[in-house]
Amino acid sequence: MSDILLRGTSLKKDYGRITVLKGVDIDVAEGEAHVVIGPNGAGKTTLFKVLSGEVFPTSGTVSFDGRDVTRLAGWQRTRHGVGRTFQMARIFKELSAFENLVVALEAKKRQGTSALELLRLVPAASIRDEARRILAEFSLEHVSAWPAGSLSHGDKKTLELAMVLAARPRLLMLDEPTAGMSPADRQRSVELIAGLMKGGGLSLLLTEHDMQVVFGLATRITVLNYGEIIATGSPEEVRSNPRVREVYLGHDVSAA
Amino acid sequence: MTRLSQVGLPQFLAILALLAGAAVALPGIANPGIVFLAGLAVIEIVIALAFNFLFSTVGILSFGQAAFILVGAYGGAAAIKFAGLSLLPALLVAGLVAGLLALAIGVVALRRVEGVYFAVLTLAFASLAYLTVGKVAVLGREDGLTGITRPAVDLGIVEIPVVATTSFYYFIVAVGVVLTAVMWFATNSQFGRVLRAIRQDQERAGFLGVNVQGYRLAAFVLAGAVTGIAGALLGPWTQIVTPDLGHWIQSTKPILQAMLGGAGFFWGPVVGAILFAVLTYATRTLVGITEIVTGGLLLAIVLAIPGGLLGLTGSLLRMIRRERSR
Ligand SMILES: Nc1ncnc2c1ncn2[C@@H]1O[C@H](COP(=O)(O)OP(=O)(O)OP(=O)(O)O)[C@@H](O)[C@H]1O
Ligand SMILES: [Mg+2]
Repeated sequence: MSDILLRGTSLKKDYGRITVLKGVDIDVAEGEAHVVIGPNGAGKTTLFKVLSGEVFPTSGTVSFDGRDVTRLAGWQRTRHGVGRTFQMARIFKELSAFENLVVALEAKKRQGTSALELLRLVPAASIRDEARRILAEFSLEHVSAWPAGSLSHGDKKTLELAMVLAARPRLLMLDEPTAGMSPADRQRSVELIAGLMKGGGLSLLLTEHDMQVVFGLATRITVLNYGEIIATGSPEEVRSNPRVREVYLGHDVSAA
Repeated sequence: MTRLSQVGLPQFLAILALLAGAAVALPGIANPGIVFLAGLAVIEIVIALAFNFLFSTVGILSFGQAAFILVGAYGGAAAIKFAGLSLLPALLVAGLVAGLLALAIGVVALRRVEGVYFAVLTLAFASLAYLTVGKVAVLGREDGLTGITRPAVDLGIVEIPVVATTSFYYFIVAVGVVLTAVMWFATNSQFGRVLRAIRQDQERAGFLGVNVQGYRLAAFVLAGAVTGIAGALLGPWTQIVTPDLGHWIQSTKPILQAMLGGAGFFWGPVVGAILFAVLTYATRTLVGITEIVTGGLLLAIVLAIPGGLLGLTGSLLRMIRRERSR
């Protein structure tokens, strides 16, 4: 197997007296598309939060690219190459779609150059061009000047993904990237993500309820149930796992 | 150049020049009493701009801006009176002291609490500063520091005396113009873009690699320092600084002024502060009830027009345009 990019070891997370994660071991290998599935409330989003640094685990460790990042804040992990989207797309609602991308691109650029960039009044020509190119690439040109808050649900998700990719992450974490989308939008998203993976240099960790999306993208599947991993393996292995069939009562998994 | 007009630089410079021109022309047409109030108004404009920068750009609600006025005023006055500094270094000292206080308050309060809780904490810190300053012997306890002179502005090659009231008034206007430009730049540069993004969604900004707490702290320190420098102009202008500069009323003033003019606009606090000064002047003869009349009027306006005067003007203009296009 290839190198491990992200590794969570014995992750536990308590919210008060509720234990949401009960000692989860998970990893993402370089170049793989690892999909976490599980019923509502299984702890998928919580696992994402712990892995990305939005919250710290009660116990356990997280390492990225061989270094321990358990106590690094989310913004620091982002700088090391972790990118993530949220279950409910988060964007800067009052800024235009174009400005959303400018903010993302400028944040990335500042890490490489000096903080004097902050004094710039107008975004650099290279940033503006890049923002326009990305908007075109993601078919968002027609909403470029719109306040991002007024975009359709699908476009918001696409914009958020475009912003995250603007930071050129090595690991992309997507929490239900197609939730609430129309079947057409959903199909387009799957193609988009599959295309990104083909480009190389990117690893994927995502959660999803739609089995067509899951089996369309996954090179590996992990099943989370009540904060515990009950199965992990190739799509075929997971599909034929009796424990998984029991949790899902056969319906979606066998249908896909 | 079209790029710069997109961020509104020419428009900003035009309005700033217009306002500065009006302020400079004032002593030629108005009596000294009005000029004195205008000097205070310029200082209050800067204080209100700094408050609104925190409120509307960064999304931080501070109820304790008086603390920075207070330490700025005392810092500047002490630098002149005890250390014999000339004017610009004295302002620098004031900005430094106020900035450090903002840093201390920010480190303690900013990462712990949000919104109203933060506002209440700033109010508590400001009350503490107010009570403390009133008890320090070298600072004159409740009587404050009196007899603050107006040292010359030392520009290295030339020394400009600003002892005369009109000269010092021009100095206040000059500092006001510079600080207004600083606040505009902080709002509209890449720094301001990051702050606006943070205000709209801290989590998203963080997961773009932005050190959210660092930026919020930097913005809080900047606003504190600017407020402190404005406060330092008060001593030489009124010849006295008292603990009352740190009274909570001084913290509510910039809030009211920003809301009055329109907190959603850069120029909102400026409009609000000017109107505030005009109201104060117009009601000056109503001995004893000035505060009640001004307060009542302000409250009525703020309640009647939530977007402030600039918001109202905007809607009126849109209405007229729609009528015309019919
Ligand atoms: N901040 C919190 N405080 C207390 N309990 C929480 C908190 N966040 C999540 N939980 C609980 O933890 C459990 C797992 O939540 P989580 O959002 O991780 O599930 P999920 O697998 O993402 O579900 P879904 O498929 O519905 O998105 C739920 O029972 C939820 O109520
Ligand atoms: Mg979830």
